[in-house]
Amino acid sequence: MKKLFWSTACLLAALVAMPALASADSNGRPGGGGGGGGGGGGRPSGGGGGGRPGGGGGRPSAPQQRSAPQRQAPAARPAGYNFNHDTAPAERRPGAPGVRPGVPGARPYAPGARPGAPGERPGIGSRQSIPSYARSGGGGGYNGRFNGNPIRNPHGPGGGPWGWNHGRPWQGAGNYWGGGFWGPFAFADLGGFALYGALDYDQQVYDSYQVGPDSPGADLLQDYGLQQTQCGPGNLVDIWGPSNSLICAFPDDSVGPGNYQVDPSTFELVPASN
Amino acid sequence: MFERRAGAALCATLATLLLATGIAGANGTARVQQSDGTSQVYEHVNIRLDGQTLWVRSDDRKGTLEVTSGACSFAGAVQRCLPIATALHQHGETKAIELRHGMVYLNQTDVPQPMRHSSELLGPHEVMVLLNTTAGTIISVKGILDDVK
Repeated sequence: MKKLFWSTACLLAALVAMPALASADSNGRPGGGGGGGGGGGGRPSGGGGGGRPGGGGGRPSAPQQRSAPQRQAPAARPAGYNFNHDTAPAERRPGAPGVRPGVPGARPYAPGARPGAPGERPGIGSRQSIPSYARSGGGGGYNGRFNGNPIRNPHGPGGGPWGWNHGRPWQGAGNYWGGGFWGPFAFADLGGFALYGALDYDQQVYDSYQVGPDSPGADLLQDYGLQQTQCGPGNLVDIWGPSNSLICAFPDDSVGPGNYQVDPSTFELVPASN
Repeated sequence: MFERRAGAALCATLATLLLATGIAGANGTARVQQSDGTSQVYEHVNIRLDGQTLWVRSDDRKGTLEVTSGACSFAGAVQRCLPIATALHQHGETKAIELRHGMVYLNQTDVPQPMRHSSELLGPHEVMVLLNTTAGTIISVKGILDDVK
């Protein structure tokens, strides 16, 4: 009786295991499911992870149109992803040295030139932009004049520099306005965002944009209780962020009108001397 | 007696094999909606984080999406990064995908985390990528990280 039990159990287990094993590719990974798009080789990514029996079952998916290739028979199984609308002819590896945007040595972004000009939509990573975004903001025409007594962040977390970022240094991305400090405003797409005033200083025009709600800059404004407003009129709090970016706010009892530079590590505001 | 032990060992081996090949591994889902309205869903993609670069490999291992990001900061316990560049490694070559905008969210904690301005929770060690390309393609990737370096 016991022998019969074990024989039956093993037979069942083998039957269940067979499909998974049979569809495993040469790497020992089960096949199935994935992939749309054209055929071809493939490039090893070196990633880890094992396999999962294909077929796409077991996981609930959103009611969304599935691609035909996803459901094709294994004999006609396509390879990889279908990005035929996006793949540019020029070969470029974003992680390769020398092509990552925003690195030192890249063509500097002229503060006066309004990015996102009509006809210029090269996409993130195409525009070589401000090389220096890490610590100082530049401050436009006030550069070098931010030497007043810093205003401490009244609600900033402790823990020293970068405490607001869980102790991890924030490093801006050069192809974003303000390095991304004020929000996800890529230079390539700035034309699509609402301009929030501009400041003329020393024959330079510094455009400003509305601070993104989910950004370090928004946290900074919240910490100080400041409300952003359009740049332009006088008697505002002009805050210079990374990469010569500028936003303006109404003054309040903690921050008076004037020009300030953000210290991204502490959110301190350093006033400019007159 | 010996037969019974041998049978048990065989069954255990088969069960281990099943677990190794069937359950462990990639659980991510990538959705690609093209500008012409067509969309593809790629399930069981493998998601690997190497520094600030995310590698999303298709289930058949033929294609890998590389998303390099920066300007990472935290919104609560969820890390948010801005994509800097994206490339598709496929057919033995690398092609750039020009982005308009996007965001990468990452929960590296062991508990689900709420996301700002969203009703969704991001699960433990889960990543969510939202990309909009200049060609009008919308890419979303969500899944638990399979590997972190």
